[in-house]
Amino acid sequence: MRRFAGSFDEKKRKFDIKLVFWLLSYVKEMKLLMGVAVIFLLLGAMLPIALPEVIQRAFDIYIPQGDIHGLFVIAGILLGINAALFFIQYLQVYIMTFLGQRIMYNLRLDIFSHIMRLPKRFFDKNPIGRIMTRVTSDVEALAELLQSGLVLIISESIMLVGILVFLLFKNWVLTLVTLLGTIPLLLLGMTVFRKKITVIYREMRSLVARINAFLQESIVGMDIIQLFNRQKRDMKRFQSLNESYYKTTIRALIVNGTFFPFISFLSIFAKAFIIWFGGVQILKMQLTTGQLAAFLIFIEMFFKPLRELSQSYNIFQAAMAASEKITSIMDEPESVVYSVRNGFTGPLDGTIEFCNVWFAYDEENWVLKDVSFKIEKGETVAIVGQTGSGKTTIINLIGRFYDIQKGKILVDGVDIKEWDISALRRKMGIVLQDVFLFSGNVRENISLYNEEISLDEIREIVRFVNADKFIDKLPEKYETLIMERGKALSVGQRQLLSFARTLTYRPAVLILDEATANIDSETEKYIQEATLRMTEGRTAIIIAHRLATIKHAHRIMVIHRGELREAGTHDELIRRKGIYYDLYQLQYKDQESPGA
Amino acid sequence: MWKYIKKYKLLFFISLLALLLVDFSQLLIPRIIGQIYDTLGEEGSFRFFLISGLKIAGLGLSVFAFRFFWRIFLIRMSRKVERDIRENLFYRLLTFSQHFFGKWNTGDLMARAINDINHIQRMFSFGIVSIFDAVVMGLMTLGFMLSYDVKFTLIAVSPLSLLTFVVLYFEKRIHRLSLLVQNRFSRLSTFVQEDFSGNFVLKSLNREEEEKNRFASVSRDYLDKNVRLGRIQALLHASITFIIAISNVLVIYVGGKNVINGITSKGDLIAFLSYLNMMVWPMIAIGFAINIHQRGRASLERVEELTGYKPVITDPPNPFLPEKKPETLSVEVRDLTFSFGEGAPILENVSLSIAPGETVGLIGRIGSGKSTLVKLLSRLLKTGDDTIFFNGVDINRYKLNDLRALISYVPQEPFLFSTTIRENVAYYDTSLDDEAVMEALRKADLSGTIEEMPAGLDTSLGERGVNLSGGQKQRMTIARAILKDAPFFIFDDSFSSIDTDTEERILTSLAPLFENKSVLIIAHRISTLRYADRIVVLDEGRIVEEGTHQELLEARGAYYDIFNRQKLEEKLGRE
Repeated sequence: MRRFAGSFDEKKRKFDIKLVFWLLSYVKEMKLLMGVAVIFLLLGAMLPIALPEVIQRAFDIYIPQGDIHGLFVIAGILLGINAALFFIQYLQVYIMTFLGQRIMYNLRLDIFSHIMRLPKRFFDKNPIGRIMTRVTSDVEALAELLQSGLVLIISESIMLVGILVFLLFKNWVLTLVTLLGTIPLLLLGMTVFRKKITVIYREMRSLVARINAFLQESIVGMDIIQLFNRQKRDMKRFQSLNESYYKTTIRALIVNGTFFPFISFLSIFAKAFIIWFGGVQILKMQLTTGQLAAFLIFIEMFFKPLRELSQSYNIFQAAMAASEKITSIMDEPESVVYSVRNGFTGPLDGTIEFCNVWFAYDEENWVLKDVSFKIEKGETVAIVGQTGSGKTTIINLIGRFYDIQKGKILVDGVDIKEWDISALRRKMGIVLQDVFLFSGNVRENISLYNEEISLDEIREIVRFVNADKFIDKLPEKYETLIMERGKALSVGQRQLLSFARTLTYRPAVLILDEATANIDSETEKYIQEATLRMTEGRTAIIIAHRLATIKHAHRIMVIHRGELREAGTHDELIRRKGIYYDLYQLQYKDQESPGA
Repeated sequence: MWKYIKKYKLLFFISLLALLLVDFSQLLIPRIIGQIYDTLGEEGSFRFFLISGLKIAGLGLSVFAFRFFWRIFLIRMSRKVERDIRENLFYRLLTFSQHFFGKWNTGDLMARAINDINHIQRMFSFGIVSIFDAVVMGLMTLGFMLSYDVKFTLIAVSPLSLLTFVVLYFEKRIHRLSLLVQNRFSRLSTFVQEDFSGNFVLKSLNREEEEKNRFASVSRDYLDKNVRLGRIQALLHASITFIIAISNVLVIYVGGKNVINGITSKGDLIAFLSYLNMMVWPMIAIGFAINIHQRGRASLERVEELTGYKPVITDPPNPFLPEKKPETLSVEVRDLTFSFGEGAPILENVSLSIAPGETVGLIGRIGSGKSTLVKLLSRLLKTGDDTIFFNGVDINRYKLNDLRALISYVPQEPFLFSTTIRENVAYYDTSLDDEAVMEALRKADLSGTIEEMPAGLDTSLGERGVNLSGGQKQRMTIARAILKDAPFFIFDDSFSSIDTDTEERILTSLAPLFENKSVLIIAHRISTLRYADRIVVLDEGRIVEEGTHQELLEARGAYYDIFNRQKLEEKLGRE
């Protein structure tokens, strides 16, 4: 048992070192500025040490001699040092803040673009909320460490060493005796403290996570709670969680509340010690009053860094926990599509071919089984099938959002694994059923923030897809803000908007997943018109839910249980009386007579 | 702020008293040191130094003790306040209806419950200490200084008056910048959330690089605001230190001259300087206090915005109180029309009744208003007066708890809590024994699955436990509703992930239970509705057909179409 605990700890420590190196690699990029910051840090830490020395001169030399001019000079020097300190302190904090923020900026950018390049699979598995915190709060925890923690550790350590050297130099007997009297106590206190507080902080973090999970779950399941009259009991459960968190914070409080006053007690204790011991030395004429006064100030300065350092322990721990989480997401492999070197760059013409394609989202659950087809340039193909038959998967595969297990997908005769991914996707316009809108205005949602696309261009496209009909009615037209993922827009309007968005990027291939939801008949008419217009002159693959689309298609492919079962024109397939015939009765026939 | 502290007056005042004693003890130390210098030339003896040392050590002990006490008391108070606020927030959330949860997104609620409460706790602990310490320490030090020499003190303090202006100048700017920083952080979070959610769209339009650049400009903005805030904070701290230094220099110069001229003793001057150094912390504390308070107050406002929200659905002022819990329930919906705000009506002139012992089926397309009807029946959404009646009494007249005690509900989304299976099933009445729980699971055709699990009923569900399939979850929610055993059962499309054979077994085993219950089954599948005495077809918020399965088939209307379609689907499924 013990051995196990030991090895676990060791593992953890190794990991920590890796983390430190990883963080340092970001610091390295800014080494020049870091150098400047360190110089300022050194200056800022060393100058205050000079102050008591100067003051001591006033007391030991000029005041006893009655030299008012000398006193004036001393005052001038003090003022000068303090003025310098003002600038140094200001610049040091400023540079450190800038540095910390800059490093966080780089880090955040790297994490963001890494996550954006993770495969679709990753997003299928991990809740967005959790991924998000890697870029937001976890980076914040690191920023705290870099900005205040690191400065504190560096400057206070320098301060500590500087003062120690100085004290030894001034009066090594007094220094050593003082240290012998206090340091063992200090070390003992620190060891006990660190051990206890680490455990408590860990417990606090886990309790906070539990409270948050409970809260989140309660918010989502509030209707169940209310319908089962569980309010009182859930309140009690929340109270007990909340109470144990409270109790843990109190335990942390007692540990902290003992430790920090203990340090300040030690500093006063050291003072008392110095007075006694120093007084004796004065009597023996081994020490001057001024020296004693300076010594007392120094000893105060000696304990301050110690206090600050132990207070930053929590920051340090939180940052380590955060960076562990960040590195684990950075270790996720990026999607393979980005690793294609010197890929085929097209331009994309528009023939698509599936050769014996097998695909499964996980292991052996085949979603597509041995699917083969070829779509010629300029052809419009409708894919039909029941829910779960594998239609949407085909769309995902053409854009290489997943890699297939067996077979080949050729675009313009080139295996998509050899295509440069941006050349491939650039000319492929994909319209999904569930249209994702960003919180910008209408124009930004069409251009996707691409400022090279002019408003005139957008207007033209919008007119082309019939979206002008509703956009012109919006209060601020193209400048209307889309609130909360476009809840105010109907499904049909959102569909039209995404048509415009896709056409803005002038695709050579159009891939369209038609919406199934009810759409009012007017918008429906606009959508149908727009769909017909869009498919003209380009290859189009449509998961069709509209009769008009099917009838317009050059060819219909019927996917059933992951297999391509039938293909042909509408009339051919109806005559065959196979699966398509049934599907047609089921899904499309109603549309023959509007209003039914 | 006081209203939160009020409950813990005693803790609060004791801690302030302890803080006062700490400050006082600390202030006595320079006095003793000063004495040492003064007596030095004359009667300095070993005994004297020893006694002085012991005195200081004693004061050190009292600083230690009282510092311990104020921390324990004040931070304990702040933690209690934090606990109360969080508890109150949760308590309030429990009273809010779907009208509220439809508008607020979970992320925002969580942010307020987590980040903002943290800031508030800091305000009530270190915020209070910083201010109190600054004021007490400042005033006491000032008092001691005055007791030495009035003129001297005035000289020393005159530069400090500059501080007032400096602080006033910085306070507003820091507040404004903190708000900006918080705001930019939200913007950053929103950006990240959207881009990760819309990841697929962005990839398919090849926008990875551009989004990275856009993200760069958003985080650049955040960086700028942070750096500006950092700069102004740096300036504040440096200014405070510098101003104190000026007054130090003044005291050394003027004081030194006085010592030379024999007006002041050297010991007094040194003590005076120590006091002046004690002003450093309170001054810096003011800087801290400004930060903590600006953030804390903003957060308190954000939390109070939630806790101050008035629930839309509440107990009526003069509730109808049934003499005892009714055994049976007749449900009546009279000419119900409902819409969200000004929007198009979701339900229009819906009338429906369910007698005890009767099972009514409800079928209709997605968006036809079925789920809204269920929410209205259980008062999760607010309905007008005299539209829905339970046993002849308007549901708005029942107390919420009484009303909901009448309904056993199985939701559309099988929502289970991350706890044990036992707790999830015996959710309504936790006192039920294992036998009763297993019996309910048996009726829901789930007992076999549970018995196979190593921990049985104690198996945990959710992220850290077992993941059940959609069908298993639905059956679990059915068992949960069975154990509630209310007179009115609602199944909101609760069989969608359960195959028809299992569904048949469950509904057959429930038949005895349903003998005198009113039951409403909402379904997409005709097979589920076979068990209904009467079937209602809803389309675009209106009831378009009503009758038994047989009657509706003969009518050859909407229901007949659905029936044929499903038969075809079954046929396709077999192919």
